Amino acid sequence: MLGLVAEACHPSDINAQIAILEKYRRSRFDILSRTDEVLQIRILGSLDVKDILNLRKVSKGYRYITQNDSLWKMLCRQLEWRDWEGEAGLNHLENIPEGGWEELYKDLWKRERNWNTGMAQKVFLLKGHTNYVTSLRLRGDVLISGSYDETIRIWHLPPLLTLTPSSIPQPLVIPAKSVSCLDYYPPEDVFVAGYHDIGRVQVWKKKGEEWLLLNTLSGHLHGIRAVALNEDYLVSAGADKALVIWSWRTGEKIVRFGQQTNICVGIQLINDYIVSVTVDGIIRTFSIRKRGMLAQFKISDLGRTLGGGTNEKEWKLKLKDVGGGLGGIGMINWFEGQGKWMTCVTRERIIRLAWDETEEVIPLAIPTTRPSSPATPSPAKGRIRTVSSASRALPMASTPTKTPNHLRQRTTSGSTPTLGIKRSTPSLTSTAMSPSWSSPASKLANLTSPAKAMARSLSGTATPSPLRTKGITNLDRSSSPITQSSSPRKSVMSSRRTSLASGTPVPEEEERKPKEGRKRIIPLLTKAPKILELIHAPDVEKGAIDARRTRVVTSTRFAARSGADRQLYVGVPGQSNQNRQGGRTDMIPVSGAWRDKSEVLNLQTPGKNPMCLVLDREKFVYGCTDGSIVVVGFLGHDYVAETHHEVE
Amino acid sequence: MSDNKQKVILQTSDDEQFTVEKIVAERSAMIKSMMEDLGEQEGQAIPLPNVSSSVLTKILEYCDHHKNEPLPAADSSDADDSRRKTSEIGEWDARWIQVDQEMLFEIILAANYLDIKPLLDVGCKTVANMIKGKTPEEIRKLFNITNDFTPEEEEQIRKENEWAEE
Repeated sequence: MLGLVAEACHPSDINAQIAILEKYRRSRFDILSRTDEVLQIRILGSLDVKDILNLRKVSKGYRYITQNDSLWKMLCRQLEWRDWEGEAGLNHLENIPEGGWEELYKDLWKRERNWNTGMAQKVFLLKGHTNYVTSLRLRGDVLISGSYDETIRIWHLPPLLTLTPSSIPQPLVIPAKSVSCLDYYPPEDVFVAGYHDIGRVQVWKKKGEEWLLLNTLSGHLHGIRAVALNEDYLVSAGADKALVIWSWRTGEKIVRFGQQTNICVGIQLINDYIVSVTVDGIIRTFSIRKRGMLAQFKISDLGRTLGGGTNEKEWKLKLKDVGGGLGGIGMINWFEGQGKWMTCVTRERIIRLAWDETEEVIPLAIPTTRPSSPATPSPAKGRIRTVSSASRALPMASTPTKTPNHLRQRTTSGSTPTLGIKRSTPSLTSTAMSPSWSSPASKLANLTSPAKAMARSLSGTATPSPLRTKGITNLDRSSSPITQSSSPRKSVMSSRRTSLASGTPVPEEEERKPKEGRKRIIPLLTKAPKILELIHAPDVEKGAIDARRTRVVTSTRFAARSGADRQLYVGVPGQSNQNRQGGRTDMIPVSGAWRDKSEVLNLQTPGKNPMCLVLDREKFVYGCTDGSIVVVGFLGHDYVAETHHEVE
Repeated sequence: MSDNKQKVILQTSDDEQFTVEKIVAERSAMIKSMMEDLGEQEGQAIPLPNVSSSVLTKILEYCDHHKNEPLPAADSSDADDSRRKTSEIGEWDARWIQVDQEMLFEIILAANYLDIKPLLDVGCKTVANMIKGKTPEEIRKLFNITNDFTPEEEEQIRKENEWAEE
C-alpha cells in the first residue's frame, strides 16, 4: 500500500510525504512500551483498575506490563491508603508471596464490593461474657470487650482470611466492675474502662504478656458514660455531667469541667483538645492546656454554615429536631470523632461533620507539672510530677498554673540534672503569673467569647496575645543562664540541645516526643464545624463509622415485641465518593452470610440486640445483650449480590 | 553577582550549551546535587548526556515557570506515592505538555533522569489520561500497536478480567 502511495507521488512530494509520515509516527509513539518498568508502574498507578484490565487486552506486550507484581502492590496500597495515617495496621499487606499481589488486590476489591452491597461473607460468635456487652474496641487483631458481667476480655482475632471459630484463642479475662465504656490506645498498649454504677475508671497497661492495673481514678459522683485516651491524657465523662481530665500515666487529675447541660454521649481527644457531645445535640470543645472551654455549638443551628440558598432552608428544617424533638427523637445516640471528622447520630439521621483545619506550633509540655516540684523527678519516666491535690480539680484553683508556667517547666524538664535552670524556676513562677491569668473568670471568658479563645489558642503560631507575650518574656529571662535567645521556642530548643550536648541522659519520654516547636495540623475547634452530609438511617440504635473511608454500620433495636425490625444497615457510598461534600450515602440492610446464618445463630432475636458496634476495613463486630459478641466479615466471595453498585 | 542570579551552564547530548539561572536549574534534583558536588567552579558546564537540546529547551520552560515554588521533599515516601492519584494536573502544566507523543516520551525520560519529581508526575499522568476510558482498540490506535492475540488468548484474558466486570 505504501508502495502505491509512493508510486503515485510526484517526486517533489516525497519529502513532504516523509515529513507527514514522520509526524504521524511521532504522534502515534508508543510511550508505554518504551518506558522502563518503574515508569510504567508510575503511569499505570494513576489509572483505575478497569483501565488497567483494558490495557491487558491490547497486546501480548501490554498484557505483560499489566501483570507486574509491583504494580499490584501499589494498587493494594492505594486501596488501603487511608490507613497509612490511621491506627489500623497494614499487616495484611506484608508477607505476600511473589506474584501474589494481584490475587490480594482481587480479594480486597471484592471485599469493598461486598461492603457496598451489604453482602456479609462470614459470621461467627465469640462467647464468654454472661451479661450485656456494652463496649468494644478493635485495633488490628486486638478486640477488647467490656461487660456488665464485671469482666473485660481481650481477644485476638486472626485476619479474616484465615479466621475460623476454632482459630480464635481463648480471651484473656480481666476482673473489673460493670463496664459501661472503654478506650484503647494501641501505641502504648494501654486501655481504660469506665464503670456503669460507680464514678470510677481504671487504666491497664500491658507488660510482657500481662495487663497490669496502672491506676484507679475516682473523679465522678455517679457512673461513667464515656472515656477517651491518647498519648498523654485520659478523659472521663460522668453521669454527673462533668468531664475530668487525667494524666493516665501518673493518675494525676489535671482539670475538671463541670456543669454541662446534659449527659455526654462521647468524647474525642485531639492532642490536648477535647470534643464532647451531649445527648441534647451540643458539641463543646475544650483546651486542656487552657483549662477551659473553647466553644460550643448547637448542631441544630449549624444549618446556616451550609452553602446554597434553598438547600439551606431544607437542611435547617432537617436539623430542627436534633438534640430534642418530639419524644426525644432527635437526641444524640452516639458520637464518634476521628481526626477532623465527627459523626453525630440520632434515631433517624447520621450527621457527618468536619472541622476546618489550622496549623499550630506544637506547644511545650503537658500542663500537669507543678512549678514547686522540680526537685522530685518521677523515677520511671524522667518527667517531673507531683500528685495533684484535690483542690486542683477545681477550675478556680487550677488557674495559677497557666501556660507560661508550663512552658517554663518544660524548658527545664529536658535537662533535669542541670540544677542551674531549675533553681531559677521558683522565682519565675511568681513573675510569670500575670494578674489576668490568675483571674478565676478565665474559664468564663472563654465560654462567653469564643473569638477570644480562638485568638488565644492560635497565639502559639503567629500572633501572641499580650498575655502570652508577657509569659514568654519572663520565660526568656529565666532561661538566660543557658542561652540568650530572641524567641521562646528557640530558647527552649537550645536549652534542650545544651542538655543533650552536655551528655545528659535523655529520658525515655523526651525521645518519645521530639516534636515540640514543630508545626502540626489540628482541627479549628473554635469555629463552627461544617455539615458534610445528612444520611437518612432507619431507626438507629447503635452504630460505628470509619470517617476516613466513610464506612458506616448501624443497627436498630432488636426489641422483644413481635414484628420488631431487627436489622443491621451498612452505608453505601454515593456516586461521587471522591468529593465528600456532594457524596450521598444510602443505608442498605446487611445480608449475605448474616441473613443466611440468622436462624442458626439466632441473630435476629432480642438476646442478640447490639449494644455496641465497632468496625475495621474487613469486618464489623457487635456486642449483644446476652453477652455474645458477633463478628461479621466482608472478605470472601461466597455471597454475591444479584445486582450491585459500582465499586469506585 | 547576587546569589539568586547565579548562572549555571548545562551541556546537552548534542553539545549545545545553555546558560541558566541557578534557581531554574535547581528544579532538577540531579543538577542540584551535581552543583553541590562541583562547588563554586564557575563557568564549568554540567554535562547532560541523556538530554537533547530540543527537550531541554522545553523542560527549562517548565522549570522557569515553577522556579519560585518550594522544592518537593527529597524523602517522599510510599504513602505519598499511594496518594498521588488524588492530585490533578495544573492548568499551565496541562497546556505546556500538549506535545506530540514522542516529545512527551522524551520529556518523561528526561524528567526521570534529571529527577524533577513534579514534572515526572505531570508526564505520567498525561499518559494515563490518554489511556483512561479507552477501549483496547482505541488504545491500539493511539499507540500504533497490533493485536497479536489469538482468539483463544483473548477468551482467556476475558476470563481473567471477569472479576472486575461482574
